[in-house]
Amino acid sequence: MKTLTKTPTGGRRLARLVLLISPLALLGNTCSEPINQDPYFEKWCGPVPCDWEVDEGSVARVATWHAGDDGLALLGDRASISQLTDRQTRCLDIDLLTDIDPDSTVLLELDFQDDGTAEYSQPIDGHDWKRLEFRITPPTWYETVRIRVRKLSGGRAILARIRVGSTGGCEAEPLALLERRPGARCEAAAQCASGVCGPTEVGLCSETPELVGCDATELTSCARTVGPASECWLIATEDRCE
Amino acid sequence: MHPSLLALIALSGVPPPTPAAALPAAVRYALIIGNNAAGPGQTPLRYAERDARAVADVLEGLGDYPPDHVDVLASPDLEQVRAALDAAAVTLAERAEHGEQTVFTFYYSGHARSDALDFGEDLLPLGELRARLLALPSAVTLVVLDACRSGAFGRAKGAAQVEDFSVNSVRRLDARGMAVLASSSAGELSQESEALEGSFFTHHLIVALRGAADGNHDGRVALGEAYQYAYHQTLLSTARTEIGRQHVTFETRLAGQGDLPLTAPGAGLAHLELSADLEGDVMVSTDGPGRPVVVAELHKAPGQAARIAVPPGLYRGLVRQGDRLGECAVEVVRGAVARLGPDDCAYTEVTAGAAKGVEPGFSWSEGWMVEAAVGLQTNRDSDYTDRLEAFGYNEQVDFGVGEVTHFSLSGGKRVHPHLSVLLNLRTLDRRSFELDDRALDDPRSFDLQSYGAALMVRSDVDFFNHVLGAYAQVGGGAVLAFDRLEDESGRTEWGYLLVGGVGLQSMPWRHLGLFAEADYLVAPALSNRLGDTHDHGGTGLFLGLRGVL
Repeated sequence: MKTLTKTPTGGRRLARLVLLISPLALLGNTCSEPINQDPYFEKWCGPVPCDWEVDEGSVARVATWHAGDDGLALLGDRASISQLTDRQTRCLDIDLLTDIDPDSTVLLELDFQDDGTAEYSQPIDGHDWKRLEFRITPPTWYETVRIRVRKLSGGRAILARIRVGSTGGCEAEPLALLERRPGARCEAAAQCASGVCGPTEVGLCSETPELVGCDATELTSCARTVGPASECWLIATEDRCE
Repeated sequence: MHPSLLALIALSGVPPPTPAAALPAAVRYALIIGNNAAGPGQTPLRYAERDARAVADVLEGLGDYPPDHVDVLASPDLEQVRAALDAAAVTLAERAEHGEQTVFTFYYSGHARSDALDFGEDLLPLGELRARLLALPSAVTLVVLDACRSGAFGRAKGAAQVEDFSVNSVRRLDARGMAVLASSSAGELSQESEALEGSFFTHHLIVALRGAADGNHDGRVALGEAYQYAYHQTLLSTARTEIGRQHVTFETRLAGQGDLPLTAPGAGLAHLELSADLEGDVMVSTDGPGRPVVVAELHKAPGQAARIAVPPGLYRGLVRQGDRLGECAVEVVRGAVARLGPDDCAYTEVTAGAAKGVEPGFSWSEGWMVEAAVGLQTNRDSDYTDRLEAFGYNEQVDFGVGEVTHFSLSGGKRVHPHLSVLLNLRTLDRRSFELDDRALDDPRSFDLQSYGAALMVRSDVDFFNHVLGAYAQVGGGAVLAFDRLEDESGRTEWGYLLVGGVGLQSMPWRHLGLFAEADYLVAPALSNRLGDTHDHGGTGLFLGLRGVL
C-alpha cells in the first residue's frame, strides 16, 4: 500500500475533520515498511547523497518545493544513481516523486542479485513533480536488489523521493530471475544456472544431477525444520544426501 | 449675525412696527438651550451655545420677546433643564390665570439620540420632553430642535393627540397648539458648518426670521415661511457636505386659521436687500469683534428680492455663480434699505481648487466602536497545500486558534447614519503538516500561519430602534503570512486581503451590543518555490460583542 495517505484535494475541510476524528482514523499509519535507505535524499556527504551510489555521470543537491527540502538532480546527458538492499519481500511498493522533462528519458530499474542485468525497467514520465507509484512482484527468490534510476538523455531530471517499501497485495506474476545459484529457490529448471531444480516439493537449484535423487522426504522435513532453502541445501547435501 | 449685533437691535430702540409688521398680541417666553457638551461616544459640538445665543437675540430683536422672558441655558445638566421647564410651567400658568395668551418657544441645539436629548451623561427622553411641553398652559408652543435625528420627536412614545392639549382660551391668536421644527429627519445627522460658525439649520432659520423668508412681503415671517426657507436652504447647503442632505421637518398641531407669525423684520432698524436680479450662492458677512462674521448664506434665486433686517454697518458679499465669484460691498444705514445687486460685485474666475469642499465642523452622532468576535472558519485547500500533500506532508488537525477557531478585532467610527469605517485585524490561518515516514529518523514538520488587516466599509440599517439591524461590509487590506520547515527559520510574505460579509446586529444596551457575521475572505499569500500560492481565506461565521464608546 502507498506510504503516504492522500488527503482529499480541494475537499471539504469540515468533512475532513469528521473523518480525522472517526474511529477509522485512530487505527494508525498504514505505511508500507521501507526497505531502502534515505528515500527523501536527506543525508548528503558532500555533493552526493550518503546512502546512494552515483554509478554514472554527476548529480547535484537541489531544492524542491521548499528551500529546506532537498532533491537530487541527475545532470548531463547520462547519469545514474543506485542503492543495493538485501531486504526481501513478496511485494515491492515503489513510490516516486519526480520532476522530469517530458523530452528526457529516465528509467527506473531493478537489478535482482546485482548481476548487472535489470530484471525490471520502467520509463519515468513524472514531470512537474508528478507522483508515480509502482507495485511490483519480485522474483520468487532473490538475495539482493539494486534500485537504480538511470538518465539516458539531456534535460531536467530531479528526484525528490524514491521510496521502496514492502507490502502485500501484488497480484502480477513474479519477475523472472534466471541463472540462480545452487540452493536458490526455483520453480523450473530454466531458472537455475545448473539447469537443475529439485527435488520437487522444495524446488531448489541443484549443482549436480545426482541431487535429484535425494530423499525427498528428508529434504522436505529439513526445509521445514531448518528454515531457509539455502541452508537446507547445505544440510541436505552434506549430511543427508551424500 | 454675531449675537452682539443682534442684541444691538433689541436694545437700541426698534422703531414702532408698522401695522402690517405687528405681531399678534401675546406674551412670549422662550427657553433656549445650547449644549456643546458631548455624551459618551460623541464629539463635542463647537457652535451649539453660539447658535442658542443667536436665536435668543433674533427673538428678542425681531420676535417681540422681552429679554427677561428669554431663558438661555448654555450646556446645562439635565436637572437644570427640568428646573427651567418647571419654572416656565409656573410662569405660563400664572399668565393663564390672568387671562393672558402666551407663546412659548423651546429651542434646543446639541447632541441627541434617536429617542432622547443628550445632556452629558444624562438623557432627556423625547417622550418626557413632549409630555412636559404639551402640559404647558401656553396658547402656542413652538419647539425647535437642532439635533441629530430630531425628526423623531413627533414619534416619541407618550405623545398625546392634539385634541388632548389643555390650553386656555385663545381669543387674540389665530392659532393654538404645538408646532415642531426639527433640523433633520429621523435617522439623519445634523451638521455644523465651520464657515458659518454654526449649524446649517439654525443659521438658515435665523436668516429666515430676519426677513429672508418673508415671501409675501408683509413685513412678518410666519412659521410656515420660516420652515419653507429653512428647509430649502438647509437642503441646498448640506447637499454639498460629506455627511449629505439634511431635511428639515415640520410638524404642526396648530388649530385655527392663518400662519403663526414669528418675527417682524419689517420693523427692523435697517435692512439689506439682495436685489431680484442677483443670482447664485450668496454669503454676506460683516466685521465682528476681531474677525468677519457670516450674517447670511443662502442660495439666491433670480426674480425675487430677499430682504433681511440687519444692524447698520458695512457688509461684504460673496456671490458664487458657477465658476465666477463676485465680491461686493454695501453699507447699510439706519432707517434705510441698502440694496446689493450684481452690478455691485467685481467678478473673478474661480480656480478649481477653490471649490468648497467638505464641511469639517459637523458632528457625528455616534462615536468610536470596538468589536471582538470569535468564530469558525473553513480553511481553504489550494495548489500550495496540494503540493504539500504530494510531497508527503499530511495535515495535523488540533482545532486550535487559527486552525478552526478564529479571532477578529475591529475598531472604527460611524461616518454617516448608515455607514461606518473600521479597521479589522483577524487570525486567518494556522496549519500544521507533518511528513511522518518510518524511513525518516524523525517526522518532518511544516507550519504556516497568517494574520490579516483590512479596512472595511460597512453599511447598515437598523430596525426597532437598534434592537435589531443588518449590515453588509466589504474591505481590503493585507495578509502577513509565515511558514517554518522543521526548526529552520521561516519565511515571511505579504499578500492582499479581500473580505466581504453580512451580519445581524443588536444594540440592546447603550454602549454594548451583539452581532453575528458571516464572512468570505480571499487572502493569497505565501508561495512555494514552485509557484504555488496559498489562499489563507475561507468562509467564516463569527459571534461577537460591540462596544460603542
